[in-house]
Amino acid sequence: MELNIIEGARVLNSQRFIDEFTSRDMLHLKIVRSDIPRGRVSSIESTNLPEDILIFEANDIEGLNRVAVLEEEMPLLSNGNIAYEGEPILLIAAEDPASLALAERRLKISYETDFSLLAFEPASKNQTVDTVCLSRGNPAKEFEETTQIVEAEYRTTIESHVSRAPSGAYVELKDGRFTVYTATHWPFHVRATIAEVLGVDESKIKVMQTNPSPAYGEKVVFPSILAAMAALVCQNTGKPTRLLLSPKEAEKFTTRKAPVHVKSTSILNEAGRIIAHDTHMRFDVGAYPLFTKELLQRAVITSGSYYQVPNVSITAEAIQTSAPPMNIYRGLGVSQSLFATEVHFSRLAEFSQLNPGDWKKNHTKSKHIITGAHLPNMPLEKLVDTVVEQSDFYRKHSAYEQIRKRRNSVKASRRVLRGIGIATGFTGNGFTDKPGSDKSWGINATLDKKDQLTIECGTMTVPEAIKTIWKRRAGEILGISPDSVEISSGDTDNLPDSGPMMLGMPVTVYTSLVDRCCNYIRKQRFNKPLPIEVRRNILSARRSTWDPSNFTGVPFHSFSWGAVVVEVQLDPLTLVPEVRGVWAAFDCGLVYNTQYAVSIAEGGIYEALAWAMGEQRVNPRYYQDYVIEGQETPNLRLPPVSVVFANRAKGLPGGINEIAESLVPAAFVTALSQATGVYFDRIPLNAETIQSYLEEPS
Amino acid sequence: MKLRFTLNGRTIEAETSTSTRLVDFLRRELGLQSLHPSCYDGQCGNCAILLDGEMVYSCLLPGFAVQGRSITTYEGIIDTLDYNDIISGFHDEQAYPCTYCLPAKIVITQSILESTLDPGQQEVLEAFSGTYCPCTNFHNLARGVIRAGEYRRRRLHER
Repeated sequence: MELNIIEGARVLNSQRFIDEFTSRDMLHLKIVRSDIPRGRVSSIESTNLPEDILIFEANDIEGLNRVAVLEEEMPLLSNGNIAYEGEPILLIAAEDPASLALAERRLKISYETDFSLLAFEPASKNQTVDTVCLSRGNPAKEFEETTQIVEAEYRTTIESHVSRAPSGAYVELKDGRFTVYTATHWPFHVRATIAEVLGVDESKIKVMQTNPSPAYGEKVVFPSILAAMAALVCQNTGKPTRLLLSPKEAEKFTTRKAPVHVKSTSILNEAGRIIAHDTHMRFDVGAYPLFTKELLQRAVITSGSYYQVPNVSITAEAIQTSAPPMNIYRGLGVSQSLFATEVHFSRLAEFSQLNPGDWKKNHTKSKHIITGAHLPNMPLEKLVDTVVEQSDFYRKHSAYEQIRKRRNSVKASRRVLRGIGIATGFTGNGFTDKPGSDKSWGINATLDKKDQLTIECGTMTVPEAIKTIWKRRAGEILGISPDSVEISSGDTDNLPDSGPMMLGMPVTVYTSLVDRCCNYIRKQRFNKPLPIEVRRNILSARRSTWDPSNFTGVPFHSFSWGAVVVEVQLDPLTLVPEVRGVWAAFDCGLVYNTQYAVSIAEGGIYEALAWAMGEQRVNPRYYQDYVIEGQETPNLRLPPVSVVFANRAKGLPGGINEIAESLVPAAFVTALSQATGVYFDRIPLNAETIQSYLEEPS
Repeated sequence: MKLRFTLNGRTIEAETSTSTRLVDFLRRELGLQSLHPSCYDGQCGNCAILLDGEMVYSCLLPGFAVQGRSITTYEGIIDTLDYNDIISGFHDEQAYPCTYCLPAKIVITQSILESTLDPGQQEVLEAFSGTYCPCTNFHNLARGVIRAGEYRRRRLHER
């Protein structure tokens, strides 16, 4: 049997998408999911099914019925217990896709449903799967001794991603080896998962990456699940098998931004400095948590941020619920945490009677972050200066403040209400620590006799922009032309395991590995005969550099810093918020192509506005609808966005999108609070939610 | 149902069922892989084609809608100088759609430039209001389309 790549795919001149893989005798596969969120399967009635239907259940798995990610795991197929609505129970396969639809309608699954749901609010104590705490000084004592406390709660809701590039897997068996095509950002995890599920050695499996982009994080772990399902059927039937998720399935079950509930309590002194601060974050991680430790650690670090508080306690908790697993969404908890922190601290600035711009600048002076790491090059003061000046923040903030104080109520106002807000902070690039694993993640480089350098990275779909950076850096270090540098394409048979492509790994971590490989080759070049081969792995942080148990030291490979100002106006009749402008300044390390970096940052800002303004992103075009087809139809425009990057002459490049996305919601909500005089404490915010706030007794 | 129509300048005779959507007919039966439907309800815009020169979303039309008509898809544009104009404009203005939505963005741009070589930003944004892919910076995209119009004006004028 031969794999056909449908004629016409070639014209795209790019890596093929998974739905373009097909073959003549291929089996189509469909997941039969649970209809209920919690319970137990009592019976499955499978009479009157089309003759060509094949059914697979957990008992058909020869290996382990699990998908393991570092220290956590979830079942591939339900073993009878249902933990969330949509949990895979059965796989049905047929050559004719029409049979699948018919079979799905005729399959009858009965459940025992006398189980209580695991809710997020309220949640019981035994729903807590993991907790991470950071503590400095003695906040409890300070809270006991003071009478003036600022207390607030913040919430963000689930954000679904919009399914675009298809998710799925195509598996074929040839000469005792499985060849797997899937849209993944972690091909070696796909291989390991299939090996475990099928009970075969990893050497029997070859994984080829298909085009995974664009993606929001759903291509990190989910492809392993889909590929293992397709491989299970392929193992049992010997036939090539393809599983494609429908757009609705991908949106609902692959990955979503975890909702968070944050309680913050603070004490300020007369000078406006924070004396004590307590934050408790609770993340809804769904039925099966993944990457929990990393999520919680990142949330704690970004929540503590750069504010030097002598007595502080930050706790992040992962709550297991009956919602589908949240999986890994871009940013992994950072944007939710930064939202709550920045809105809260802007509120503290207001209580201090200080301009939030000045207040934040005052806190940047120590050049330390919450983990105690001293960062002499911390650029925040300059970034704040830049956005404050560009947006005319001081004048506008004072003017809007005065107007608000003179106004009786929002409803009585006949003019549009305006406000301006600022948010500052950082995001980290790379994992906080090399995740516990018996395998090394790294990259290889080889300089051959023709002075050609070949870089091998196991995450084969690194964006072109990052490949260009590697070529330039390798060229500079070795004194060769960037055109002589090749980034090797291949599969899991001939490339090294480089870990998952997430959390800014390619731009920062892999780039540093390319540097280390090239520096080694440069040193050995005239001592050793060519070719020179080298492998460099991601190292665990030394305890002196980063101690995760005590939260001390430098937690990330590098930092991306940012300051963002958002100005909004609100029509008092329609209560529809409109963004008048966004001013952003970022320091994401070395930027090779400023225009391209600005383009990425602007994209992140628009995404963040969509998150902040959409009640639910049911309609994927929400933000565009609002701007383009909403009230402003006669004046079609996107809100003006100004982005500048600090000009770093050397160092590593850092991630851009995450910092751009993470700061905008807080600045937006703070601006809207100033415009209305109402303390908004959640996103998304739209006319309906604003109305509900205005109706609440003050 | 037997169909006869023009696809990217070539006469095609094919058969399809009345219940098949145009996007599925073009993609599955004729192998046009540039169509990337991800919503099937006209929201993502990734299945845009030109039907008798007018931009339509092929997921919203039945396959038989092409009877006796002329279709242009991304595959019909890429080998033309029109494509060069568009890509050059996009490149100049740092408009980098991902490979998934690029074909639709090219088709929509082509439809804009077939109606005017000097489009305004509003016109461009209106034309793209039925598409969704957050990979795209719409500021840059609008500028890219306007720049593409400049290239095409210059090319046609020089002729």
